[in-house]
Amino acid sequence: MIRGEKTVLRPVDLGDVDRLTKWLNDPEVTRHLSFYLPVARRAEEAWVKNDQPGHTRFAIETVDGKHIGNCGLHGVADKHRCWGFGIFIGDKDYWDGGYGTDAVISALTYGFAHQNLHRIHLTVDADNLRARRCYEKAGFMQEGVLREHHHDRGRYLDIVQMGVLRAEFEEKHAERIVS
Amino acid sequence: MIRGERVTLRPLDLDEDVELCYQWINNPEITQYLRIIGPITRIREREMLEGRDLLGEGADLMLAVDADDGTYIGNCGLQEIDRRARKAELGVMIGDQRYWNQGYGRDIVTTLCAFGFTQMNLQRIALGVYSHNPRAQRCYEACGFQHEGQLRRAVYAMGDYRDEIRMAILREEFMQRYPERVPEGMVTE
Repeated sequence: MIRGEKTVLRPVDLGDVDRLTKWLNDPEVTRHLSFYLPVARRAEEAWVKNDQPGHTRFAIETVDGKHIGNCGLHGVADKHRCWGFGIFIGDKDYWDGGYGTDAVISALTYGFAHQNLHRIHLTVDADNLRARRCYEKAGFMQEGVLREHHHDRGRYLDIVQMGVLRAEFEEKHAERIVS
Repeated sequence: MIRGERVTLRPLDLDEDVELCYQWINNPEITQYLRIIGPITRIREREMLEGRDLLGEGADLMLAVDADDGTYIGNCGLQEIDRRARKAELGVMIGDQRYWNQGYGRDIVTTLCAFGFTQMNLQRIALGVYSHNPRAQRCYEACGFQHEGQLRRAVYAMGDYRDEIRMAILREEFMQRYPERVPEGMVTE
């Protein structure tokens, strides 16, 4: 468990499968995710069971224990110490409430303080302003724009590349790094 | 879930759906219009469907069709997806004959095309329909598919050789015909 101020990160569980299936079949939720095909429950069940190195997956719960989304770090322990990050809040009642930002900060805390990473990076749709603001608050910096890098619903989208270095995160969120 | 006007396209549920698939695939009234015919055992049918419920980039798009009253009425999908040429082959089967001749086929085809063009970024969707299936030909024509050719005596069904009619619709043709089914600002090329 990684405790934040509003959220707790815990391991994913088979009990999450129904919620994950519902969320990932909701176009409003998947709007800015790489998911666009309908997802069978069996596929989500397989995803939860397929717990392999390289994918550190967390369920995001409120401090009251309500599962509201998922996030994960993707990478292997190698000399680069640089992993990717992804997140979604599936329960739309918890959008715009600071839950995502808090979970991102917790995940970064986990990456730097528990996995000893040097850098964490992500890509985000350029028109996903809410997510970009969230990532900035958590400490990510914009590093570049991949022009018309993805296709989504009939048009090509710019993708923003963001990254955060350990030293930057430690300075910004000193209170979250337990020494 | 992919929502049309009257139908919902969703992943197959192996446990729930196999029995009806088994009934349909062994019904000559249905399979006279398909490439495959019975007898096919329940076990074999399940084996054939196994994995097709798991959708992903690079896999065929295989979907179950629910009618507006929630009844599971058939299957549809996009196969032979060619990412370089950005094209695919469309297939539809309404296995529940109570739902024939009511416009469900059109909604399925249009919904599937909208998904193929806007979400999968295809530029061409093609299909083959048999000469003894005028109802399906009318459906595809109504959806904007154009005749491209006739493969003479390409199939054998119901006691005779039949032609396979090749039809296709292009991205810009679909966008022009169904502006309400595509997002604003969608690129034509």
